[in-house]
Amino acid sequence: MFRFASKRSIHSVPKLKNSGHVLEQGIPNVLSASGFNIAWTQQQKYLCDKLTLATAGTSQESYLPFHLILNTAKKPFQTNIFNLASAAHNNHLFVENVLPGPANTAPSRLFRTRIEEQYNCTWEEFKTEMVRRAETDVVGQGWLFLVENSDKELHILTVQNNGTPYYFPRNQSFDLNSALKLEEYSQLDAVRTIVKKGGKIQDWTMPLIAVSLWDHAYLHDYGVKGRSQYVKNVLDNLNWTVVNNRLYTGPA
Amino acid sequence: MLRYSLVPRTLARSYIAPSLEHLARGKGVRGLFSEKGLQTAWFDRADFYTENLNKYMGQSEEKPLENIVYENAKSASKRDIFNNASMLYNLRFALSCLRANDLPSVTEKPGPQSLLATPSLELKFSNDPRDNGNEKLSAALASSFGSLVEFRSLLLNSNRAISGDGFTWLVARKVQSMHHESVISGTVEFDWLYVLNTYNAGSPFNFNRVGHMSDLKKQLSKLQTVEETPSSNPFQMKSVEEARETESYRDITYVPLLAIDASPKAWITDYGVFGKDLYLERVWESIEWNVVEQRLPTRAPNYQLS
Amino acid sequence: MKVQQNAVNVLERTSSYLKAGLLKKTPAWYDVVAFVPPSKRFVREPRLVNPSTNKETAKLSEFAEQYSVENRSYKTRASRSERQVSGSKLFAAPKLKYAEDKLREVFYEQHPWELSRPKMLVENSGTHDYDWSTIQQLGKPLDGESVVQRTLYLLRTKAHQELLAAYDQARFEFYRLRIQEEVQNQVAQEEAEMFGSVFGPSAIDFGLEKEQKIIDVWKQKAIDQTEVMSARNINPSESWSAQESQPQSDAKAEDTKELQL
Repeated sequence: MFRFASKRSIHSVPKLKNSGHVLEQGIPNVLSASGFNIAWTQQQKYLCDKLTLATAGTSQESYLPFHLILNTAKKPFQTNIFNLASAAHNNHLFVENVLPGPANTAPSRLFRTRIEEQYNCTWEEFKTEMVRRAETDVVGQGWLFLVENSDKELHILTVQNNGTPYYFPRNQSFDLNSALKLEEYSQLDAVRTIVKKGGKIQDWTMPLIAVSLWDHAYLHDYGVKGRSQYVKNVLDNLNWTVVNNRLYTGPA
Repeated sequence: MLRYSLVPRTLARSYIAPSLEHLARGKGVRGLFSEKGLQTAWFDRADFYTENLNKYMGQSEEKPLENIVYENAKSASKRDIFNNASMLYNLRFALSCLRANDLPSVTEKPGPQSLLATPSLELKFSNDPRDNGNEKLSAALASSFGSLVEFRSLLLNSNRAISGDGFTWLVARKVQSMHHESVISGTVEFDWLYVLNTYNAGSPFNFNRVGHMSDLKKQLSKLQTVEETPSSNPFQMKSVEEARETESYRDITYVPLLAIDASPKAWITDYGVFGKDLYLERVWESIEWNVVEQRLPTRAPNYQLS
Repeated sequence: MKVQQNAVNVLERTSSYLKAGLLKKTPAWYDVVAFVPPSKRFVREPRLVNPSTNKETAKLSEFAEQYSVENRSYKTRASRSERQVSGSKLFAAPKLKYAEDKLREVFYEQHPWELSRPKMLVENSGTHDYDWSTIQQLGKPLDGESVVQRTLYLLRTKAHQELLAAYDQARFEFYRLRIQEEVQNQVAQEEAEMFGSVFGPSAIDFGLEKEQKIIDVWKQKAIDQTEVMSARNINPSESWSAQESQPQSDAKAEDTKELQL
């Protein structure tokens, strides 16, 4: 009997580069080995399996999570698939930029100057602002991103639950469960107007830094009250080789 | 059960974390939470929200949490206060309906295989309000949801579908729109029971939902100088989303009876990443139906069960 | 015509080639074909017993003691037509019968809307070995086939003796999972909206909008035509001159025409 080696329809946990060391000892200064096991090995397996269950036997079964995000973002009835795909993709982004490389790394000169030019502050100061935003904007689960938009500006983007940075109507940056500020409402209203108008929405935002604010990532090691400390630790121990590579370096 | 132990400290007036008689530090809830699990699911979070509440409230008079939630629900500048007060209220409410059960404690966290597990077709549950003598409650459940099994699957499925933080509530809908104070006074009548989800710090009383969006819309349109011509389409209706925001919460007030916490903080410590289903099974076994029934208002006469 | 035997003698021929040294390497198929040699019997054999029903295919029906009123005699021999056994019966391949087919038929008759779910016809992979101790499978959608396979599994493991009981259990498990799925989709959508997601227009909105555009055009045409018609009706003799005065007919005239619509 002939058998295919791989089944295209099954999502599997991506293999990380030099992760063997991390699985045994955790990420120094950030996550313990068992914390990493929950945040990545188990959670990613959970997301992949759920995604497989949700997409098997449909036309979406052979899509990658990234394509699933873009494919389902506009369809309200496929939010479940969107959530799983977006979570799987974000989690991969997060682990990639927090997994230590072979050598110590630092933010590139380009990155530093971009921050300094745009915000008039150093990266160190900018980091505290990122920690603060994570603290105030995301009450429950979510993600903290540093994104680069199509105008090559850097922005902090906080995302509730499983929002995606790639498509702004599904950023999920607002928490409608509590009162909204007028400013936030006007943003939301603007997004609604754009979507209502129809036509192709083009959003070329790319995430540079992703930090998981899900309980799976920090609860085991930092406890309920330690999320801000965890965010700070992640930002202090980023793998800059990965982040520097994500930054646009081509001609302006 | 809805009593709050709010003891003022000596210097600054501040809230201390609410306590529940049946939960003690250093102990778990048998069959549901281990010692560590309860610490994360309840004590640490209660402490955390209370600390935040004190931080944001500054020095002010002590009020019951419901009042804080009610007063700050529509103000965006007081969102931090609302969020913490509301989460504290919700969490306390959820844990006040739980008690220990007789099942053996969970020693092994479920693995990936549990995602494929076939749902059990059990129609009798060991924790059943009918066996517990809660006639009034089970009659109301049966008439609102059809049967206890249907209610259970709706309640647990609603909770398991929440992907982030949130609570699933069993609520009773008040017949007339009455004033907020009557929630506490207890002279309330209801017509039907509902299962309701709230997310993050959302409140089951949905004070903030009533008219909040349309208020913002009005404010925004005042600010916008360029007046857009309204589309003259007679067939144009409000979208479902718009209708939900502006119409659906108008006169409805709910009386919460039971809450189940969906946050991973509640289950990840004891049940692991794959364990939400098992957690919910255990929560069902741990529901204290007597407490739920005590909260049940009287049923409006025309909706009484025949 | 001579029966062509070249194909079935391939093993013998290859063996002699090998022995003679014409072939240096043993072909890959050699051992396999030697293990399962091709049949050399070319005669189609009649099947006197149908293996799928265990009934005899060519049995002469009993006719003893049959009194024919027309001939006023008893029938003693089988008639020519009765003695003839049709070749289609004797040589017919037996029908393959599977319990699954019956279950599938029942399931889709009871749940016709299950057929309306989109289905992938392209197969990405070969055969699967699923373990039906659970009704959900990684890489296989939950559908009628899951119910069928789960039913057979329950029968095989003796969880149920009766086919219908096993089918019912599988069916109810299936319902539970469908309920879960439905609640999941609703809640996920509500949750996303509560976190500020903005979705595009729904299919119904889109359809209404398209329809509205056509209706608008049609409405304009109808108004124009009614204007012409009513102008004629008011004064048929002036129907020619009415065309010139038409541009003057303003909002007031339009109102009356709208009523006629």
